[in-house]
Amino acid sequence: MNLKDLQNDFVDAFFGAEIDVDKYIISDDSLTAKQRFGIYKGSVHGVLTQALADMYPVCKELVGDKFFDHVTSKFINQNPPRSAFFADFGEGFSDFLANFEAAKSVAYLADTARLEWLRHTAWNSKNQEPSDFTTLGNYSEEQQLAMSFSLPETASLLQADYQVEQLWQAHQEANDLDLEKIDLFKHLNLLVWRTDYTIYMQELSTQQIDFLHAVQQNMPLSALAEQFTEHLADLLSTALGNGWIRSFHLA
Amino acid sequence: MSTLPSPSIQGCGIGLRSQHFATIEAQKPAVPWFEILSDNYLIEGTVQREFAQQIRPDYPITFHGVGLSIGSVEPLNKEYLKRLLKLKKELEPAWVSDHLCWTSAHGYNTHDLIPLPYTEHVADHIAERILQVQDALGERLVIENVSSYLQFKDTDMSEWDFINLVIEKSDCNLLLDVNNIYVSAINHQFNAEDYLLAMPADKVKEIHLAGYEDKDTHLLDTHSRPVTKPVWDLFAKAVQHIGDVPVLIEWDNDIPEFSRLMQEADTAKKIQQEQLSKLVNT
Ligand SMILES: [Fe+2]
Repeated sequence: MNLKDLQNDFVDAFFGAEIDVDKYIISDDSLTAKQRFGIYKGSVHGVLTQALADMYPVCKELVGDKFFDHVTSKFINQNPPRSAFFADFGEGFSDFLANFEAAKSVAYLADTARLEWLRHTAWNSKNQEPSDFTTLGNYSEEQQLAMSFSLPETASLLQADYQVEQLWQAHQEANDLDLEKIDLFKHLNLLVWRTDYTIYMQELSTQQIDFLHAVQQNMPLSALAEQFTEHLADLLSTALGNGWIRSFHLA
Repeated sequence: MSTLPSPSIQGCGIGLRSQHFATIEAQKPAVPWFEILSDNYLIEGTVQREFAQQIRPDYPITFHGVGLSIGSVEPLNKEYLKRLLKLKKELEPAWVSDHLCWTSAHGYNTHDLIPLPYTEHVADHIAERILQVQDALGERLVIENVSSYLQFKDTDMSEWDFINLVIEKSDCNLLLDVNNIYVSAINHQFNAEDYLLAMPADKVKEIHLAGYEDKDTHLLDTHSRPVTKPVWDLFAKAVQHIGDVPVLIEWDNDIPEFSRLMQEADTAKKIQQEQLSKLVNT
């Protein structure tokens, strides 16, 4: 026997390939080789399905347990985890849903998944120390103009076709937001980020999201001033005041 | 120099799970140590990593991982090892453990514990990889026996002979999961005591206890239940054979209140003390 063949065959079969397990596994009175292999396959899928259910709880509620199991099992076979870091698994589920024929009737499902993925990434990325903005005055005007800013490492910007943030809120137990009253079919600009143990979601104006996109692209203050002209002071102070900008960097 | 308390691990610890973070923070329970699932702490600045840093001055910590995939044929994952070493430097665990199995192949990761055929050739392969990891760690790796639901046609020795062979070849230490011995003994119809008594007592750094589910055709190691009577009995025998080693309660699915885990730990401590006092008196 070759250990490499065994391991490659097993992994391929966990994620959908057919192999002859009798080649490797002993059958006995209580269980056949195929059944014994099935215990492992079930366990691998069980762990991954549970991970997706934990990551995408609102999507699961939207489509129901049975459909969610069906779609996740397809997703797992087509996107088996490649990373040793478990938090990486589950990315791309929103794109998968967007292209999944049987899910197309729930138009806002993929956007909901995008939001839930951003919440997952906010949990699993770095909650870094903020810069000390009180020292900004110590820099010359020239230094300030060359300065760039960053959003928190936990932050992501979402532009969605549907009001999935309100939908998400309505699906929280503690919230009595009425699903009926949500106007789902409206464009959404959203910032998702985490500070310490809390995840925040903030709806933004078009100008605010444009501004934060520009900040994300490391635009220096001089370029931001050119683009946002008389609105800059307001945009910057709102972003700083709400923790949407976490640090500054000298050129 | 480190300012963290030296990691002296004794008595009955508990596997740290995020569901209990708030309780632990509020109550500072009298737990001798926590074991963290190191794979979940490998990203800097995450909630769980900050929590571990926060409680570390009050509790010694051990690392328990899945991702080394010590039994794989693929090369060791350097990035994983690098992050593990960084975490080790930060949290100063008493030791680092992983499982005697494989988790990844063909570029994919199962995130599950898949068993190995037990042959001398496979023992050589694993020992060589353990030696590489030990070089990187600068200390002995602690390897845990896994539960299994199948036996390979190529296996030509018992699991206990295989474990002894790997330890002999690599000089690693052993994390003996008593529940896993019992689960595999029922699934493969061998005598759990034969296995237990064949374990090299001086190499056992830690014992694990957990609960399984009875699926009629087999026992499934779900870590979702209290420890069962036959596993407590086997644990008592393990203490007789091995002596005073730290014990840990693992509970990963259908996780109960923290106080329920404390109860489980108290039972373990009681059995351990009974058996140890018998040892002293004989
Ligand atoms: Fe264990």
